[in-house]
Amino acid sequence: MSTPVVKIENLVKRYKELVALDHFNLEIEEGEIFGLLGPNGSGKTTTINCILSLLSFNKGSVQVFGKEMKPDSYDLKRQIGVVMQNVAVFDSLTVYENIDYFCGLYIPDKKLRKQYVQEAIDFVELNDFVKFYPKKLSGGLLRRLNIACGIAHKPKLIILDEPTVAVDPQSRNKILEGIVKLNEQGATIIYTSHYMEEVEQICTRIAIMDKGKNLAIGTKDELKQMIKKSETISIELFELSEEDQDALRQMKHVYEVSYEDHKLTILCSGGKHNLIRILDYLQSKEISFGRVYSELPTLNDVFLEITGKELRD
Amino acid sequence: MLHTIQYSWKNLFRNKEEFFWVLIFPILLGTMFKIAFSNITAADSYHAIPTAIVFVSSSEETQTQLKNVIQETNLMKPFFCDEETALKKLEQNKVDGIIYMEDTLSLTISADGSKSTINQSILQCFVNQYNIHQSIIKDAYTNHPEKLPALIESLKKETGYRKEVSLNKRNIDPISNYFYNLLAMSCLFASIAGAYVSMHSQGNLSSLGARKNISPVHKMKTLFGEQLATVLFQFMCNLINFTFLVCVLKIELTAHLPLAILTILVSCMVSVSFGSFIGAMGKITENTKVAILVCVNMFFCFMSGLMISNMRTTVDAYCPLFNKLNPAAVIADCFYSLSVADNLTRYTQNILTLLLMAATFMIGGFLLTRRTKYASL
Repeated sequence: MSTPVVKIENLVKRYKELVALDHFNLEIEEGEIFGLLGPNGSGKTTTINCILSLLSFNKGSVQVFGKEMKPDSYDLKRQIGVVMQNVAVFDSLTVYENIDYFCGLYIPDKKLRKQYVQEAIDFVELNDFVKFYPKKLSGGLLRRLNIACGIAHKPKLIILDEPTVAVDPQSRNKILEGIVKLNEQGATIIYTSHYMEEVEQICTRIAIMDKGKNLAIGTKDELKQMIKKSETISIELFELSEEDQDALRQMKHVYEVSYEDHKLTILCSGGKHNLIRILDYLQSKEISFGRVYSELPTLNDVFLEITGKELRD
Repeated sequence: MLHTIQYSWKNLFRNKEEFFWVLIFPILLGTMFKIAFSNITAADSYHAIPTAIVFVSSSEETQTQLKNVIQETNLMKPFFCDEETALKKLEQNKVDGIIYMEDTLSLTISADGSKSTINQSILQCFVNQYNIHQSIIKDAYTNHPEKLPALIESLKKETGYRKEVSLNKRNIDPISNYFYNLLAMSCLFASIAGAYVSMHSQGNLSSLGARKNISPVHKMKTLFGEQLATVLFQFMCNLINFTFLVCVLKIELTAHLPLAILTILVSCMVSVSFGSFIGAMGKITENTKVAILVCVNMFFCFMSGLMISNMRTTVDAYCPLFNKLNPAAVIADCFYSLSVADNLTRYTQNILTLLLMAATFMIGGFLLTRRTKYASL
């Protein structure tokens, strides 16, 4: 078995009374796009800062590439690229100079650096803006510059801390496509977000965090299988008697039925042909219905079932 | 290190605010000082008193004698004319008085009180002294003619009982003190750039600091490189200020040019390290720290005499220790001692004090910023 790229054991981080990380454990393998999903304040950024040895912690250990991560682990830091949650660039340097400055902290060779900087610019598609100062860039372009500054030195491990906050949908898609491309080029990615759609879209494995704890970990399918709900069926009905509702509740795999504002909602657990059986029943009872929806569970459902609250609460 | 210095310079060069406070503002203030003090000097300079001279009944010889005395003393701007013209000129305020030459001199001045009383007093003194001298000479001519040449020689000599003595035979211009303080202020403004160096190196104070902290470059190396770049930049700006004062405004600042340049360099070191020290202190916002520095710098400059020339002397009388600890006062005193003192003892003491200050603030700043792991960000 290969050495995990990141291994966190029993990590505890306290801010006075507040426990930000509560005996947190995590292992990230090489080649993964690993998603840390959780609401604001769940401990995602704290975890990242502990991995980077930027934050001190009370208990536990952090290993990167099989070695203990310390502030002076320069050989390890050389292999890590970080895109911080807050844009961290110099206002008085141009796009090119900003990328060159940060790349220069990792790559001393000027010729190689020039090549890497150009590749980073190509990657984030900022070719038309190389001489622009950050203040002249839109929010989306600024985020792309922030990413270029973090990845220009071609790190093996890239940590992206909420890189799409306050970014327009077009730029967001470009950023997400770029992350997948970086992964395809061989980088292991740690991606934190509170946007479940993004995590679901790009991550190969996901850890759901809340209150500093790792609540669940696995692929998106594995996570969805962990919960009771497998399908949510919604049907617009003009009228439905209590008797029929009870009959639906008795059906196989159905565990919750509700009827409100002419809308029937049925939650199913397992089973493959739940919708067909329900529609058959309605037809047999000559109950007319309107639009029908069938939704598979989302990560929000997973989060809701595990924590009892919505992801964006 | 070179990479850091190169980009720090680019950052500083493009910071318009920094340029204004470090370069433009001191040049503007220096020019204003020059204009203001030039007017004061001009107001203080002596203007020859316009005086009408009327020869009533006097010999050619005595007339020539009076003309020679007037020329030698440079007290008056004489108009030799008849009485009628003289009275007209006095009426029209073209002269401050009329000196009549008969056996003795007599003075007529305007009675309406509109004339300068100082000029009238000077003319009165001149007339009195001339008459006394004339009387003494006449008396000697009559009673002791053999002693006459010695007497005339003695009267020619003006005996002064007080004399301004320069310690090193240089011109001591009290106005220069303002320019020494101006240079001190300009050097102290470097502290703001120093504060930004610290704030942008601390992971818990700025995003840039956090990003630098996770890079594979030793923190002290980055910090030292940025401080060095800032000191060199500030040194360059202050050299331009100094050159402007000396070459354009023609202010006589010092005769020891290399030591004056050394003073500017050491002052920039003190200032940048002081700013770094303040910048590294606690989790206060950037703007608050800059405001604190501006206030502290202006207070130091005020106490050093930027606004009131003799402030440093006053502070020296009541709290001499403050002057020893006030960087603005020590910097200004460096320039002052270079201009005034005959030896370099006082200058050496000052420059050592500045170096000690720089070392203290630098060590303090490094101790505050050496942390590479933070309890919170």
